[in-house]
Amino acid sequence: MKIIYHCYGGAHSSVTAANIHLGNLPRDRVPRYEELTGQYLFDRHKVKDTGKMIFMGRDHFGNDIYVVGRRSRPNLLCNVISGLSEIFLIDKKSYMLVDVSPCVNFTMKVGGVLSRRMGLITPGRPIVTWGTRRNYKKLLAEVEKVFSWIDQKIPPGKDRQKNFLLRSPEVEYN
Amino acid sequence: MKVMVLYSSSDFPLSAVAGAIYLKQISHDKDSIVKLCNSTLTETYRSYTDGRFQYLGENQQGTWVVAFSCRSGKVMLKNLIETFLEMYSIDSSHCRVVEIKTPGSILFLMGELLSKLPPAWGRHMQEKYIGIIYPRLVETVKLDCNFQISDN
Repeated sequence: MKIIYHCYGGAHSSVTAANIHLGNLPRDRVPRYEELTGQYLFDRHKVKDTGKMIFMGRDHFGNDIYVVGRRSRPNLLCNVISGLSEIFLIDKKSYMLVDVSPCVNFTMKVGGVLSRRMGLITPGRPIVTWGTRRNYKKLLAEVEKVFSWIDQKIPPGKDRQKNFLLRSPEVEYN
Repeated sequence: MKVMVLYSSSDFPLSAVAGAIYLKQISHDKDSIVKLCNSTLTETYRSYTDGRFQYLGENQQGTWVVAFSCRSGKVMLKNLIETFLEMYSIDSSHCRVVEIKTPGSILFLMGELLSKLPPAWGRHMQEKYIGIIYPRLVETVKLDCNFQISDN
């Protein structure tokens, strides 16, 4: 299965979630500043890379992990991927779209705009990293949800399933 | 299998009309435009927006034609389609993405307005509008889809 983490810019929350998934970041504690800034592709994504699904690695279940920035157009991402998979007869169960944008806080947004949009890395990166550390548990919970779905191969509870489907309408379960 | 994906930034389904021209489903006479509106546009044109693909048909060479509308995010769209095809090892030459450019600002605004009207109200105007933009779309299809069609 291909698991695609997506968020607004594809530079911070989705990259952090993907690295948590791949075991590159700790699950028992909040990582240090250096650990977050040192992770692969953190705060590196450029505006011209929007929409590029970047391969991050393969997890121990054999799933390929990708990240993508999709601006404020999650529906466009879901619809285009769904449309292409229908045309090319790709099984919709072969991929999973995970929206991590609800895990983004105001601090991350401010830091992300400063660093990625305005190119002010010196003030932007520490701010976005601080925001990521503050919301790390939320990101961890999102990844844990994904892990539970992969591991158990069953749909989550009704409320969780509903929330997940609202954010990722193209995902189907066995 | 080869696929031609047509998209436009207008909420009015210009790409679907261009696709119908490419597939030779319509000509510049009123009857064929009315037929197109009856068969395709009236019920479904709202579902063309925000990247929802609509299958329009298949040409003689077996190329599938699909259309959708996408108001913004052209760079994202291009990257998304390219990387998705790479991800599943699909030859990118099998999928051609063509942007149907909007025919001038006034006509673009007319299309936007028409797309907001309920189908029952705007139907007659939509037919007129397709009649107006038809010659421009024929040129666009000829140039961008690299496909020779008759002017009839």
